[in-house]
Order: sequence, then C-alpha cells, then structure tokens
Amino acid sequence: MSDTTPQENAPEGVVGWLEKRGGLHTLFRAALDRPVPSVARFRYALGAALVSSLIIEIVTGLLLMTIYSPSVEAAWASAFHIDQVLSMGWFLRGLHNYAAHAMVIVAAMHLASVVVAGVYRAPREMNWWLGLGLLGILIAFTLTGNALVWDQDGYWAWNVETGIAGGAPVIGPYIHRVVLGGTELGNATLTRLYALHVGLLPLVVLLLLRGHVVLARKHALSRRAAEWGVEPAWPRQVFLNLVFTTVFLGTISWMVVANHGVSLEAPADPASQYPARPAWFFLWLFELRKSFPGPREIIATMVIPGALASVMFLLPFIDRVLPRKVAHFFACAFAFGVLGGAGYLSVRSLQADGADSHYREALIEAEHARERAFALASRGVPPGGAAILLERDPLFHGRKVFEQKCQGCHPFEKRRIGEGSMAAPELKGFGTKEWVRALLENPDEPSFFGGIKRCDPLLAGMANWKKGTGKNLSAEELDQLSAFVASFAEIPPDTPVPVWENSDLVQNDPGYALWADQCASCHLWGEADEANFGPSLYAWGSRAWFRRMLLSPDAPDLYGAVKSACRMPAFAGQLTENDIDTMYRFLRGDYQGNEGP
Amino acid sequence: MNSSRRDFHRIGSFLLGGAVSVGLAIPGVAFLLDPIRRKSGKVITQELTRLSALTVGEPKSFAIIAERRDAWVQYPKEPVGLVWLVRQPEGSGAAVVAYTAECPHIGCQIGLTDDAKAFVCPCHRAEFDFQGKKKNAVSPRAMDTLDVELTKDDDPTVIVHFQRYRTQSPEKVPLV
Repeated sequence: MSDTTPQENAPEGVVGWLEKRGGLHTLFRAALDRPVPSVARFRYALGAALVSSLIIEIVTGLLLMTIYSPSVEAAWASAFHIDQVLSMGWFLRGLHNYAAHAMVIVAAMHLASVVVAGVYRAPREMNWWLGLGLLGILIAFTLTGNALVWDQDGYWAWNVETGIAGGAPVIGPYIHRVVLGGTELGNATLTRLYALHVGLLPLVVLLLLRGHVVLARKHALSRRAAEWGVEPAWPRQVFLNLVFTTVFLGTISWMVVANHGVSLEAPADPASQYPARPAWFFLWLFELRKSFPGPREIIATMVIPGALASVMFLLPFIDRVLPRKVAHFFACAFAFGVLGGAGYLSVRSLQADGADSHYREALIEAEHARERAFALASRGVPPGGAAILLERDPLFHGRKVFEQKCQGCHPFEKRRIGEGSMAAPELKGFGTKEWVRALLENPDEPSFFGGIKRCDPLLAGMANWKKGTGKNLSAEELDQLSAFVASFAEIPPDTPVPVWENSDLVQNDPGYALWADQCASCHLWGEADEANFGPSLYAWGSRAWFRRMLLSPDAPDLYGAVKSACRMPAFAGQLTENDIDTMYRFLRGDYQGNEGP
Repeated sequence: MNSSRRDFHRIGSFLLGGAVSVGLAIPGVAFLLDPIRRKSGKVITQELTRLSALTVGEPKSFAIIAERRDAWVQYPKEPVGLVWLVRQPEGSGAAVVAYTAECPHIGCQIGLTDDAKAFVCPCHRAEFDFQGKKKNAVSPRAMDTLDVELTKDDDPTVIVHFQRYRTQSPEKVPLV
C-alpha cells in the first residue's frame, strides 16, 4: 500500500509516526490548507468563532459538571456553591452562559451572511439545513441550560416553554408529559434536562457540525469568491479567525467580569408569583402572543414560528420558481424582515414591561427573595434543599403570611395593608416587655384597644382599668408588671399552672404581687369568667399561646365572650404549622440576621 | 505573498491561540483544584462516656456526633466518625486511650476480630492489638490515638478530641 501523503510533505519524527498510524497530520493540513478567497475577510471568521465558542462551552461545561448536581434539592444550591464559594466558579458559569447567548447572535450573523452571499442555493441545500439545525440545537442548549439551575427564572421559563409545546395539536400533551417526566416540573424534569443538555444535544451538535464542516469543505468556494483568487487558509485567514475569536471571547469575558457572572435568582418556588419572561431571542414571540388572545394564541406560538421556520427551510427552492435575482432579493428581504420585525417586537415588549408597575413591583419582590435566599444559603443549605430556605424563614415566609392574613387589621410598625375590617392592636414587639409597657401606659391608643373598643364594650376593659385602679401605679411598678407579663412567654410548654405559679421565680418576682392585685381578677389562668372578662394570659407570648389564639380565638378562656363580629376570626384550617411557626418567630424577632447586638 | 507578512500571521496566530487557551486554562485549573486550598480538618471535642462504664481490656466504640458541612449542604447533627476507647490498668499512666476507628491504611472503619481479642480492619485485614500496635504488615503505622481529657469528678467523664489523619503514610499527619 502506498503512502497517501505526497513525498515532499512527508513529516518526520513523532509527527511522522503519528501520521503513519492515524493520518492526523493529513487531517490537520487539510484544515489549514483549505482554499479560501485571497481577500481574507472577517466575515469568514464567524464560523470559526462559533467553533471556538463551542470548545469553550465544552471545557467550561465539563468543569461545571464536576460540581453541578441535577436534583430538585441540590441544583440551585450547587449553582450557588459554584458562584459564591468555589474559586473562579462565577467566571466559568458566567462564561458558559454568556458565550452560549453570544453564539446565538454570531450564528444569526453567520446565517445572514450566508443569505446575503447567496450560498444557501444548490448544491449547498444540505448544508443550509444543517446550519438551521445547528441554530435550533443552540437554542435548545440555552433553554435547557437556563432551567438547569432551578432558580425562579429557569423554573418558570421552562414551565412556560414546555407548556407552549404542550399546546401543540394532538401530540402536544404527550410531548409535555415526556419532556417533564410527568405532569409537573420535578426531579424527573431536571434529570431529563440534564441528559439533554450534557448528553443528547452535545452528541447531535458534534455530528451536525462535522457534517456542516465536511460539506463546507466539499463545496469549497462559491463561484464569485473563486473569481477573487484562492489561497490556503493558513496563515492569513487563520490569523483573522483568531483575531476575531480573541476579540469575541475577550468581549464576552469582559461582560462576565463586569456583571460578576450570570444572575442566579431565588430558588424555584412553585407557589410563588414570579413574572417569568422568555429568553431574549424569544421576547418577540412573547410580544406577538399578546396580539392573539384566547384560542387564537396558537397562531403566535405555533403557526407563525412554524411558517417562518418552513420558509427558512425551503429557501433554497425559491430559485426554482422565481428568477435567480428575484429569489435572492426575496431571501434577503425575508431574512432581514424577520430580524427587523423581531427586533421591533422585542423593543415593544421591553417598553411594555418598563411601563408596567405590577411587573416592576414583582421584580423588586423577586430581588428581595433572591437577596434573602443568598444570605440564608451562605450558611449552607439544609439537606431538604434550597426551597426550604425561604419557606422556613421567619423573615421571608412568616412576614409574608402575616402580611396576607393579619396585617389588614393588625398594624406592624404602625402600617396596615389593605382594608381590614377592624383596627386591632399593633403586633410589632408582640410578647416583649416594651409592648406590654406601652399598652399599660395607654391602652386606649388606636394601636392597642382604642380602635376596637367601640365594637364591643368588653374590649374597653383595659381602658377602664387604666382610668380606675391602674392610674395609681408608678412608672416603676408598671415596669415591674410589664417585665412579669413578658416573662409568661418563657413558661415551658405543658407546665401546669400551680407548678409555675408556686415556683421561686414567680413568687420572688416583684411584678407577681402587682399582677395579683391589678390583673388577676379579670385575666384568669386558663378559665373563663363572664362577669369580669379578660383572656387568659397564661404563657402569653409563647408559641403555644400564639398558636391557640390563631386557631381558636373563640375559646371561652380567650375571646369567646366577645361578640363574634368584634372578635378575631379563627384561622384553623387556613394556616399550616410552618405558617404559624415562621409567623411567630417573625413577630418574636427570632430569625437569621436579627441576632441582636 | 511577502514572507514577513506571512510570518506575522503565523506568529500572531500562535500568540492569539495561546492567549485564549491560557485565559481559559487559568480559571479552569483554579476551579478544578479548589479543594486543595480548602481546610478540611477540624477537631471535634465531645464527651463520650463515664470512665466507670469502661472495663479494662474491653475496647468500646463510640460515635462522634457533629454538624457537618458537605459542599453546599449543612447537615444537622449526625454520626461523623467512630472512636474506640480502651481503659488502661490502674497505675499505667493514662486511665483511658482513644483510637480513631479510621484505619491508617486506606481509611476503612476498624472493628474487632470475631474473638474480640484484637482490632481488625474489614477491608484488607490490617490487625492491631489493644495498644494500637500493628499485628501484621498491612497498615503503614499503628492506630491513630486521639487526645483524651478526663473531668475532675469522682467518676470522670471521658472527653475526646476527634480529628482525622492522612492515610497511607508511615507518619501520623493530621488532615488540615
């Protein structure tokens, strides 16, 4: 068998050894010596920049795979770990993300340049389709990658994207179920996303790219380019490719550094109202959808995108029905028309969001959630996953429940939300000495019982006490009494009243005698007294008292004697134990970041 | 084509290609080698038992319970290691010796032989006597002792300072 390498180019030494066994030298030379127009151009560097970016994606992707963990519990936390803990993790994840999105832009430019040069026509149809396929895969990469971190943005975007696919006629629901691995987003969704993103899509992209490059070499130069004269790609075109690639990657790296990586929103929360928006290159479809409401929505989600893709696909065949020049004009007009229209709609979408105060508020709320999740996650994520961070957080969840369920009537820091039916007591400082002291000073304040006493005379009890025997107490006595009442919160759960009351701690408390003298005739321990109404304050300020007050305020020893229209509604069945617990800890100031001085 | 321009393109290509590769390699290597520059070892101090609960010549094992951080997860208290306590005869200096159960060979957890006369590692049959000395050539060193403290009570509480050591090494080197 004869050596296929021409004798004058036969390499020696190690390269020669490798060449004889693997033909690597020939492959390498074929790439370097491929003919290019002797007017070397940056336009030809677009493809090279895409290949370089793909290599960057593979390298950074493999590095991220050494940490990233595709499960509902771990995905967000591992991305957080990459960004916030590991050396250069933020840069690599940022580069992986930015380079992918930049590739979409460069691929669109590459495509536009192919249309302008008219090299989509016969005999290059096959390569035109491979290019379109590669663009599709590229978009699939960005969509799956965005969802992998399982933050609010990724979760909701994937929810919408798969939802749209699920709206396809006939097969939609089946596709939806297969892609999600069920009917809802969950663990199987993430593992499928992962398999797609790091398994199937890379395999397909490498195969398509191989075909794309082989066909590009096969068809070599267009007739027009060949007229300009031909030279080997090495070194001039290769140099220009590298200049372009370096500037391209340098710009991306600079953007990554300037933005300190790519954003990570709060962990996915299926129960939240997150203002999901699609990836930037689908924003125009999002805007388009607004013009086709109701059952006509499918025009924007399926018909128009499908028609555009079909025209792109059939572009090489327009030559057959139209004169060559007219067909080319149509192709260019179509490509730039679509780009221009998409750009216009995208700007309109951004303007609409910018003018939408609900959207801006939702963004601010999402940013609060993100900041709080980051603060909590910096101390490690619980084994149950990042979603628990906010769900179990008094400041985030407890406050939210309080705002939704209580703050209509009960002000917090003097602020009520919405129109509650009553002006109930302020709850900032619930269970503290300061709160009790302020109440004892002036129970008739609107922020205590001044607002609701008109509803039922029983609720004027504290005000009447203050006008009666209460007015004789000195400031020091009021301090002692307040301290004693605030100590109720520390009574251990399930302590029988006599055990607690006869303890030295209580007997030696200077506030105890004042209590017995001033308060005990109305506020009985766990008993009801119709004649002298006053709720039982035993263990007042403790979690158990708080829970009971929320679930059954109508209990005889609480506010059962008060007219039901003037009483706090019972929240039994409306609150989870976690709601109660986080709300209690929120009111008591028991949460991370509030450790005190 | 003129050859100096050709050289410029050739050298420029190598420089740019090199710059891009190095620019990616530096953060990549820093990311990959991140575990090397992290502190791994810490000493966990824990009360294990009363001295009276131990019998001379009968090693007893105790779990070390601690909170643990594993990459991004903060685990609540759970067993993180095993310690063997061996009570010493009266007048032999220390009242009790503590060994970590982690075998100095490759780090499996050491147990007792069937007749409970010696320590043995289940992975490669490294054997040790109750003084922690090697009984065969499998392990590179004797079992690793841990610092022990006794409280001043009549029946003192045994407090152990648990930490981990590098395996496969003839010397006892703490992991830090």
